[in-house]
Amino acid sequence: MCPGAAARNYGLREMSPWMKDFLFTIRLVYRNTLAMAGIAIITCLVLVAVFAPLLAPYSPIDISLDERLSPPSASHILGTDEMGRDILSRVIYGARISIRIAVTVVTIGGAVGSILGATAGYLRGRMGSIIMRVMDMILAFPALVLCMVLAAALGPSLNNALLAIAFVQIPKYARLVHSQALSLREKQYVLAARSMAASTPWIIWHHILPGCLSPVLVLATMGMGEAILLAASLSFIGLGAQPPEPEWGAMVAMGRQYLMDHWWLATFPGLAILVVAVGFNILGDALRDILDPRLRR
Amino acid sequence: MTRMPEPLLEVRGLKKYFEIRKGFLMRTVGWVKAVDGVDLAGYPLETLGLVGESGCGKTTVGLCIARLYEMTSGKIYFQGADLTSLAGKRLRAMRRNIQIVFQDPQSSLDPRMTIKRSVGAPLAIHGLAKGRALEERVADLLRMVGLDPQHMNRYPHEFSGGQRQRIGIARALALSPKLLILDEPTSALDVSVQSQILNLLRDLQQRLRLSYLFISHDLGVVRYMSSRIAVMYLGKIVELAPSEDLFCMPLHPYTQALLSSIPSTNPAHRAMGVTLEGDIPSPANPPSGCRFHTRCTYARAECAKFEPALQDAGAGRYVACHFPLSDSR
Repeated sequence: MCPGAAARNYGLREMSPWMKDFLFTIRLVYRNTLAMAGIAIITCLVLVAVFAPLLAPYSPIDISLDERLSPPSASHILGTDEMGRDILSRVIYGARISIRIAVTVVTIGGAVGSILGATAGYLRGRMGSIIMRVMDMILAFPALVLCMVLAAALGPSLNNALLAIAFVQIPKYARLVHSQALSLREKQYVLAARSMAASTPWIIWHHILPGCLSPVLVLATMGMGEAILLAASLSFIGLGAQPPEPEWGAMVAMGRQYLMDHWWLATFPGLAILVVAVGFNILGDALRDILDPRLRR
Repeated sequence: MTRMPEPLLEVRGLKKYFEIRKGFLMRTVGWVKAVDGVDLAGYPLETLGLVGESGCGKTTVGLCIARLYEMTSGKIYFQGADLTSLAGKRLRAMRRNIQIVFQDPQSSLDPRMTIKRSVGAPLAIHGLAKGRALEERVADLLRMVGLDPQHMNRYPHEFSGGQRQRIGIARALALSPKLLILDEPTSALDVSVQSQILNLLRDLQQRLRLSYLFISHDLGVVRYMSSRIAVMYLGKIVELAPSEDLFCMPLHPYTQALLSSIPSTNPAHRAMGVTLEGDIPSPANPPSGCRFHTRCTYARAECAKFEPALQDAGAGRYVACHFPLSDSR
């Protein structure tokens, strides 16, 4: 669809209700302190990730054994680790990895989950039941345990860990979209689409999925925090990012051995995980309230 | 009666039962016989009315003809070709010939789609036009139904009910169908808007040489629109007759009762009223024999035992009653 082209041919471009709605939502977000706090944290994260080479005082992977395990000081604000690498620089570069984790997991998990849920909800019947029962089976396992099994089976690397986490996230999206799709499929416009010979994928893509967008958005925001936590957990037990990658979870794992005498190794990456996870969660929470039609205004 | 031309649409023994499932195992415990053996024929360029109380199965008939419901049994022929067995590509191609205008203009348009996308969807789906060509075609369709093409980038909620129904009609016309199934196209609208839509439909019928199956519970509207009318009761057709004949001299007691339920401004008219008592029986457990006997003023013992078939009553009229009304009664 290209509204701009149409505007040229047929007079004034109308502001769509979704645009108005979007602007209204922005205003609600603006008035919501919690949402603003979440946005501030996530904006910081993104800026840090983008400008990491400018912000980081040192290289995140260059070893400097003379300076190993030095406490926070003027030259190394957050100290150095067991290899003499600057922790501040590593935390800064870690932001890039965190964003990669959040985006990859939510994109794969959200897309696959939404499509499966929409298909199951639209088709119902045997096919729908099979899809949803498989989703239930995945949900029956604790997320972290299933992630560990999958990540271990795929082999320890950050990409495999991300695949495992994305897989575990699929059922959440599937269930959400499934319930929404069940109500959307009864709309007359779906019947109308079928009467003009629209295929099942066409109907799911044009009518069912767009109707599920806003709850999925909320879940995706919250899911980003969870993905970062899960990835950190996997890295902590050695199934995720491998050294020397500056992944926060892996840094905490390495620093754990030195925790007694050199607290700064594990503390600062740990704090980074905490702040970012909280940021995504409170934004997700606030978005849920804002997008809930009953709680709006 | 002179023989009509080849029927455009022929429905034979159409049945549609819905399962009633209950309990943990979702076992089928019964059937709702929404449509229980309907025979109809629609001729080119005519408007065939289908009337009945709500719940009598008239919408189900429409949806079955459009192949939106899988029918339980029966055959549907369109221009002599059997639709029932079509699938895949040939069903797709056939769908272009039969389109539906739905009752509720609120729910028949996706609130997230612009009018251009909604009306253009059938063209896009069939790969008939895209880009500029599609836009031109949508503009033509909107003009045809009396809307300003400049508004094609608006969303459904920015239009009134009548305008939305026009959009629904434009969408149904996009594929240049031969038969339009109008499923209570005006019952969700204000009276003043109703007449505009009805006149638009009549006008379009002339211009585009369309045939209509007009489904409604509103007798006045059906009379205005239709050349022949079929009266449905509990999943069956009880009477089928040319419009004026049906209104002047109903043969079936149910038709008579329906007609007398029309409010009249003429006091002399009101006297002959036969009012219907009670509710329409459940289609899950229809009465034995003639389905109308429980509410029929003229019911006799036979009526509860034997089911009357739809019989030729001469002059193009058909009636399903053991004791059809006549002038003398």
